[in-house]
Amino acid sequence: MKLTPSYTINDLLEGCKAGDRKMQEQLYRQTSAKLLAVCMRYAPDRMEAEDVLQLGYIKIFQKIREYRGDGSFEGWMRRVMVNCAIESYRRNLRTLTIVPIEEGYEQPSAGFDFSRLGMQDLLGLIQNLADGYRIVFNMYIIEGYSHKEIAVNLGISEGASKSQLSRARAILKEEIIKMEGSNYATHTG
Amino acid sequence: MQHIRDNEFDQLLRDKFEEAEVRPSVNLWAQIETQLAEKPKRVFPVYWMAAAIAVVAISLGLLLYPEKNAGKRRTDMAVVAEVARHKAAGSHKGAVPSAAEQPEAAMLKVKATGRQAPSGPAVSTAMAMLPDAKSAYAKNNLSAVQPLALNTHLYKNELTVKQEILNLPEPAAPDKEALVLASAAEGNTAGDEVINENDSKGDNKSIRNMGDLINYVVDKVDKSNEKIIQFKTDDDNSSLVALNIGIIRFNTKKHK
Repeated sequence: MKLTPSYTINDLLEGCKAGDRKMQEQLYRQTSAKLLAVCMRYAPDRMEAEDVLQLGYIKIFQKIREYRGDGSFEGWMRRVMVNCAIESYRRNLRTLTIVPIEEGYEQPSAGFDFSRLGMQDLLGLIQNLADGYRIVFNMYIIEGYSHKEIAVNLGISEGASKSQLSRARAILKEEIIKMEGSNYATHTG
Repeated sequence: MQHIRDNEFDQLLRDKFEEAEVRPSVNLWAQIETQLAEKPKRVFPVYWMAAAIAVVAISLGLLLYPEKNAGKRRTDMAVVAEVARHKAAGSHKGAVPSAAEQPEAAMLKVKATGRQAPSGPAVSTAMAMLPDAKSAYAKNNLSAVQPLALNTHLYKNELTVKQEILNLPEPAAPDKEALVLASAAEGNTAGDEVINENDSKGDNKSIRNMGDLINYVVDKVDKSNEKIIQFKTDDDNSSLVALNIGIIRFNTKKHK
């Protein structure tokens, strides 16, 4: 988290706790890009990601007095944002299309050269996943939730969480290989 | 090319997103700021409402509770109530409230024709049989401020007189007395609680003090079992026995 020289994270924290609008804006300026990247992983597109970001900041400013300094402030903000994203996903659950899990999906076997894969490309791949896959993928792989926690949070079974994760992983691997294949056709095989 | 294990794959993805940043749209802060500014407006009226209710409740309590002090700060209303109390104690215990018990009715009588006016619920039934009741009602210059039932006191007809004779063992108060009462009540001809007060609906309770008066008015307005405010009037001290204003609620009757 980059900070302007004039404000330390403690200044911002205290200012925001006091409801100082200028400090709130500073905090937003310094943290929003990182938190939007979080939202982008959970939302299907940028528009929804920004909606979640907006809701998340409102919540951060409302709950900032509850932050007691245990764990990093950035980590706390991230958690608030992730919770907002999950909440938003659950709200939209009714409109979701359910993607059936295909049996006997062929596991691709290939090496990965992540250094050549841009974050934006990866983000695009994740956003293209079906909603359920994307949420489970993010919660488990990036945020480190257990399958049990995911099951409770999303109101699904642990088994469903596991199968959605492996499916999401498989799709991502396949897509990454495709992408690499188009760039380095000679290396694949 | 070697296989990549799931946990390695996961770790690579985690690393990829560890420091990921995406710049939000330029106007997003402005939207957040607007929403932040809206919040207090939505929250405050609730508190203001609660505060207003509390203030109203307290001032009601202060105004209405100390009936013992009525003598010190006499209002027109108090005067009327007082006169009514004397009358009730002195002369009448009949089934139907007499004219004396109803200063307002007496006043109306004087204003209209000077004739003796019948009173009580019997009149209402008689009224229904009168074909010209409506036109007579319209002619009455007090009609604008009086409930219909009150005006029935003004109509003289054989039927009501008969009914009155049947229901009223004692003669109604003499006109002279009525006149005195009328002058006492002159101040409150329109829209005052006293007017509603005398609109008897058949109960035989007389209004002896401020507590009775309030109970009566509340009874008219608030039909629920738990009245908004209720006084105990038997002891002539009019102590507050029940209050039901949203969050402020008590009822001493229930504890007995």
